[in-house]
Amino acid sequence: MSAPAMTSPSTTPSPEAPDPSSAAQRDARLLSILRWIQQLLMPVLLVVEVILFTVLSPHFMTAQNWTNIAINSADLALIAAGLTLIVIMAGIDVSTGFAVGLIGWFVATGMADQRSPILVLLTALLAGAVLGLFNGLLTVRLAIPSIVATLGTSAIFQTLLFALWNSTDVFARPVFPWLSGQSRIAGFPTVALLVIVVYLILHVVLSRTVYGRSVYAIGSNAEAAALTGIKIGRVRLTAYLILGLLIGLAACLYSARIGVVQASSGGELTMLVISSVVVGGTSILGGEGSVLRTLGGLVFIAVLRNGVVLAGVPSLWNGVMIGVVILLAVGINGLVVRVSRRQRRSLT
Amino acid sequence: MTQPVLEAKDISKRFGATQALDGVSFRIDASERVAVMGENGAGKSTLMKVFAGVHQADSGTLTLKGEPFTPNSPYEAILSGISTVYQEPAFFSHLSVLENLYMGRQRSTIGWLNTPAMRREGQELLGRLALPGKLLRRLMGELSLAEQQLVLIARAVAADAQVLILDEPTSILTDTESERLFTVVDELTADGVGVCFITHRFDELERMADRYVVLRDGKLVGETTDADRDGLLAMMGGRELAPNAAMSTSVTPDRVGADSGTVDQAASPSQASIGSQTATADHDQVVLRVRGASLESTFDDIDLDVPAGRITGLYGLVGAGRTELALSILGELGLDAGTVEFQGKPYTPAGSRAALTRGIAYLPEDRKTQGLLRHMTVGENLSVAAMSSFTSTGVLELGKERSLVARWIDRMKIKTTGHNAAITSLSGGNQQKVLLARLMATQPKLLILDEPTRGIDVATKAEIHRDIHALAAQGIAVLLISSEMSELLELADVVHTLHEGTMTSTLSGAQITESAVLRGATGSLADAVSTSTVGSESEMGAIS
Repeated sequence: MSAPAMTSPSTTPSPEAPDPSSAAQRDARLLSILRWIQQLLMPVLLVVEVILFTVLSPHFMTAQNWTNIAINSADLALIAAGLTLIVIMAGIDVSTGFAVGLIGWFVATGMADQRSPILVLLTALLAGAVLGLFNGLLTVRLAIPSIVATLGTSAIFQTLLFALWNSTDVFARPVFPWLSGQSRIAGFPTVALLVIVVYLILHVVLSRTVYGRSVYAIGSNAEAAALTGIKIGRVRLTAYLILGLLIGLAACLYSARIGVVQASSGGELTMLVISSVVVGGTSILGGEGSVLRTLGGLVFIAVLRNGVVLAGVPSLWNGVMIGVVILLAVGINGLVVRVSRRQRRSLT
Repeated sequence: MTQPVLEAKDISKRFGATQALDGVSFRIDASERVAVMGENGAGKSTLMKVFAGVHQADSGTLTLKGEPFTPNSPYEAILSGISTVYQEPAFFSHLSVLENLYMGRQRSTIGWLNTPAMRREGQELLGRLALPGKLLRRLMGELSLAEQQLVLIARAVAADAQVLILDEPTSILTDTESERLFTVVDELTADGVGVCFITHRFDELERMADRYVVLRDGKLVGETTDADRDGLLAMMGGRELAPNAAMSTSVTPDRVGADSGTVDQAASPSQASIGSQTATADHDQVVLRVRGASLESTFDDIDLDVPAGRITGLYGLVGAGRTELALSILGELGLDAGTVEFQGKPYTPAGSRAALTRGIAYLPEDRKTQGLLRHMTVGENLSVAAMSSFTSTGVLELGKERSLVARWIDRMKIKTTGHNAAITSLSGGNQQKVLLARLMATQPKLLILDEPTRGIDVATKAEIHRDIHALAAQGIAVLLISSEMSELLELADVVHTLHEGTMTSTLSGAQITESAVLRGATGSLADAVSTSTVGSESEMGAIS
């Protein structure tokens, strides 16, 4: 055995190399700034938007207009609330729009055929549950990535709607008077109150129940969640079921609001719903988010769509603005992920 | 031909709190075959990765054929003539073998692939490793592990390497395949290539290499041209140098009975105190009993007893089947044969969730990917497995949760600002404490800990060791899987060693020495220990 090749006896723990730790500190500072921006982005944008439209149009800041905004985005809001659960678990659903269109056709036809309203409402909820569970089973049991599965079902729903439509527009009326935009409770639109109730329930479910905690745990780290005893399949399937029921309800509002169901009904909702969730600040990568954030994102988009029209800006600009805000929100999110990953690496 | 191809002087490399390499000097001559040996975590792979440009040394110099050499990326190292086949290699499983062979250095004319030329050369290359030429068209992902390994070796050979680094190349090869590999290595060294092996297999040493270098705790502790097993083991283990005699005598049960009282306390001072505190009826009652557990090509005919109030250690080198055995007990992996008994009743493993409800808690090997809920708070991470204890209707009783979390933060001395702190704001060691507390909050009967202190700073490691001891003292059965020798020596009452899926020894009390454990883990104890289970059980009795 030749002499061991050893340097100075450096078994005493040498101090942390200065370079990496200062870089880590810089990253920590950067991270806290980014998190702060992330938190404030939505409120600031909302305030800016409201001020801007108030200045641009005298009709904007009126009770009547805010009522309109609430009524016109109620269906969107219901779907966005359900989708938030899916997105927190790092999933997605791009079939929501045509699911609404398809169910909307049944609702409109049922009402036109003079069926009992309660039967129509239950049919809508049941149909929503079936479509939601179908998406859920594809992604959970067959392990098809949710974007692919729902892209597929979206095409199926759209085609079914097209076939049922059969070149005949169906005129739609509210299932119940209280599900129409005209209904008021204490001066507030009933549908807006319905939305608020749904959001409050889901907020409590997410923040205060075993189910909600499980949703966040799965989004944060599905493998770890499974090892801690969470039934991840059942939790995800339940989320698709909840989303489906909300889609069924939204279809009743939607068909009455538009007044007619035809071949492409509902299609415009898909991207608006996803935008509301993402702009609100729920991470598309999972683990973070809340329905209250989604409500913020939804209000931002609803106000934008309304204000742009009132201000006389050609409405094609509203897509650009939504796009910019999404990129901003997602961009900051991506930056947070990158910096925190770098920081973690320099710490370990 | 003895001028060094690659020479390293005083290489040091630190990862956070771990000094992975500490002033290592090393050389490979042209036409030389060197084997690098050492325990898990001795720094072998890190050293090779410094050569390969994966890691950059904090200090020290490298010279390649007399020229200073500072590879900043694996690509630079390959271009300079250093080819590496890693133990867990990366390849393109959706591309063909041909595309894998030539990835990054395709034969082409103005961007147009010259596939016929590559196919011709590729066929020849595979032929050298006795692989059929028709393999070229197959997808890499469809090949067996051994075939993949050989293709990657062919790829490294094709890169016109001056130095070829092979990290445990034979661990998944059959003897015939290994022999084929050695023949190719012989041909390469005849052409002046220097070859560097990382290996744990003593039986192949002489066939494999001319010189043997031993690393321990990041330092180069010796080199020799003598393939003597005991000498190398002594260097790898370090602390005691004449283990063989002690081994063969200590297996006689009556000797052990007489000795264990005194030696045992020396080996693990805290054992005595535990024994005295906790002489309850529950202790030593076997909580988990595994008989004849087998899983194809993973582990074979394993018998294992994990008694209450004791820490049962499981040691083995990478690929020995330790984690897989744990996962099979949980039901995450299957079992081809064998029985499991839990608390005296037959138990059918049915997944970690079912295990948790029965009182079997598992701390996974990889804290980051299998343990932490990164976006959530300390409190949420801690309480997630025990949610049923603070809810009856599905609605969480947050007050109860808070007091549960506060109790565990206090009890485990977790350094955090409290319940609402982000889990990512904690140090690795404190994160691990949270995960340990997560399991303990479910009040398990059996705790399976897989590498509980990997990557954790020394001070926190000592605290976690104290925690594990305290848990065992309460009567919990602990199965401790560790590749860290000092951890097992300090904590375990009994150590089982696994080697390539078979249990090679069962050591208790005074038998638990570094060299004995290593001997078991490297499968080199054919004559020394075939300790009967009966013998080891009676020894366990002697300890308590």
